[in-house]
Amino acid sequence: MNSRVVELTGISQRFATHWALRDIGLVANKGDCIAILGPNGCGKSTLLKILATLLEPTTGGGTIAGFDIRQNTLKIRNQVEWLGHELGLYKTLTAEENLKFSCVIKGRKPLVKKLREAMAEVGLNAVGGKPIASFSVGMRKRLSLARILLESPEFVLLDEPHANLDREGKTLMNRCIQNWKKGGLTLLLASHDHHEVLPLCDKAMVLNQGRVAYFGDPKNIPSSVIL
Amino acid sequence: MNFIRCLAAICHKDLLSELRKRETLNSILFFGILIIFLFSFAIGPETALLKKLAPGLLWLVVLFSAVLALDRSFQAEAEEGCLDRLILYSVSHRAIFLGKLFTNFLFVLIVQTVVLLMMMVLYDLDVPKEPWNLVLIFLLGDLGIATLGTFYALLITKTRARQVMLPLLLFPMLIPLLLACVFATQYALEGDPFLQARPWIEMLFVFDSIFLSACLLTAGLLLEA
Amino acid sequence: MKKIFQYGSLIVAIGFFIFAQWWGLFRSPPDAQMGEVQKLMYVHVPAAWNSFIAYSIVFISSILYLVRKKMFWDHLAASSAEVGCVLTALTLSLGSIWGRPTWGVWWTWDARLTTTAILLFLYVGYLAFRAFVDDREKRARLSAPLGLLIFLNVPIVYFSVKWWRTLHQVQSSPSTVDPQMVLSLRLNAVAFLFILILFIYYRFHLSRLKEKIENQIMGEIQ
Repeated sequence: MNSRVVELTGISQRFATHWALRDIGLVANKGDCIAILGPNGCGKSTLLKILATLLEPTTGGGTIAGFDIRQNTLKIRNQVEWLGHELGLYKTLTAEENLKFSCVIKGRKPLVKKLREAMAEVGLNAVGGKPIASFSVGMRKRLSLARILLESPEFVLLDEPHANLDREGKTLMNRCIQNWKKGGLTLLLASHDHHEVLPLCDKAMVLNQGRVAYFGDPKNIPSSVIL
Repeated sequence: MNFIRCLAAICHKDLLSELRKRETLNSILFFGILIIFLFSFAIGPETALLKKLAPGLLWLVVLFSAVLALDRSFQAEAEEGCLDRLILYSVSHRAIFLGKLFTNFLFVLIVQTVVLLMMMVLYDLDVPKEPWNLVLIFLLGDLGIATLGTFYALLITKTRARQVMLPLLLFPMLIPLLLACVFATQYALEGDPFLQARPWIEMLFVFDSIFLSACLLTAGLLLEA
Repeated sequence: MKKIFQYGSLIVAIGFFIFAQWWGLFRSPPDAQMGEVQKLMYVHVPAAWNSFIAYSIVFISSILYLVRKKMFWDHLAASSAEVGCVLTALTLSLGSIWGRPTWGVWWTWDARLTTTAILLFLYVGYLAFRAFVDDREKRARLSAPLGLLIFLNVPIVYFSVKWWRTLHQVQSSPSTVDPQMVLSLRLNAVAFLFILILFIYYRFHLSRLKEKIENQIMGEIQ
């Protein structure tokens, strides 16, 4: 009904005595794929956490999927998937059990067939029964990708999607992103490496020290703001 | 329905990883039994004295072991952002809190039972005169420890304050519970012809209901903070 | 105008405090058995009463923070907890000094004394916990439930300790207050109430100023 998926104005986030974000506005329409670029510590992850409703911003407000980010966090969470630096997987459980846990707790039936399919898609079929304590970071990342594939979100937030993945994993990630785009999902990709994410996106936002340095067409980013 | 399912999923997850590694239970059981030994070295080998002190020692051991169990139970969640993930799953906050509470309760109860059995052997305790009373006291006492323990462990996990803060904040809160449990246990072990344990058990009941409801009321705020 | 009011209330409060203390020390009779030592009571007892008022303020402001989510209430809770701890520490140390010549021991497991000591542990814990959180909104959100829970425990602690004492058949403290001394005690209680309000106000004012300065510095950096 509403083509505006994200509409935020005046977002600032303070951590103790330091501003992580200052006065950020962001608008995303349904089907947009936006890259958020900037050096380390510029506030990319913080912005994504606010969009995932994990953080309540110090000032500012707005809506995600039509729901207020301060009042209606529970409804937003049903439609948003967030892949952060911390993947939130339990080390003592196996890959399959981890997927099963997230399915059960989200209220879906954990069909073994579907779980296997998702794991096959990310190339983890052979190790599905092993505790993930033995997994490498890249394998864990693939597993969290499988977790998102099992859901049907409207809005996907990826924090450094290509980090820690091998070449094959990066291709896999790109394929997933392309599929989501085709499916009309809204995507936000945060990265410090514009070579990897810019080809995938149709809009770009550059952050510097918590402020927006550029927002618009990814082809026209002035060289002065890319670091 | 939803609520119960989430609660069960969290308990199942915790118990499954515990069964697989047996980290928490083994370490706290070992710790508990070790302390019983140490007490008899500190106090002396007189069985009569040890017998007299047994109820107090029992609950002290349980308190110390509980802190270890609580630490562990939230370490797993705090690492790797699992707690954040749980909050984002849009499950009821109370279900998360109760799920953690239930597994902690189970651990404390197991430790308590094992420690009591070990004490009966080592300190030559008689068979409890009022076994049902004893079961009731264990259930109520351990529920109180688990409730406040889960609350404080969550609070400390949220701040990344050092783990040493947990007993500093938790133990003073548990003083009434400790008093009630120790005296009630004493009557249950040695016989209670005048029903003197009654007021203490009632106090435990009041303690548990007040703090369980207060913790459930504020659990959401704590998780989201 | 505000300045006059501030200094005026300061002078009145301190003046009244000095008057009440003077009255207690020189105008009321010394105790028949305890002698002049008993005069410690004019600090000990009012401090105890007023620390309890301070803790009630912590409780009420914690609830109001949970309802209203305004930093005002968090500042008030923190200031009251600090002042309450100071008064409790005063109560305990004076009680100990008074107990030595009167009961012959520095410490006794009297119900009220023990409860007061537990209270001190609880609220010092509350303040120590606050020091661990850097972000002020987060600190407020986390310490409000804590302030609530601790106060709920106060009556339970008191009753459990009381029952514990009666079990062991030890007579409770000889709290025989001579009717002639009641007036001095009341005077000092009111004086301490003024001092309490004054302390909390200044502590509260200070943390508000700190917040303001922090905001200004952070505004300038950006």
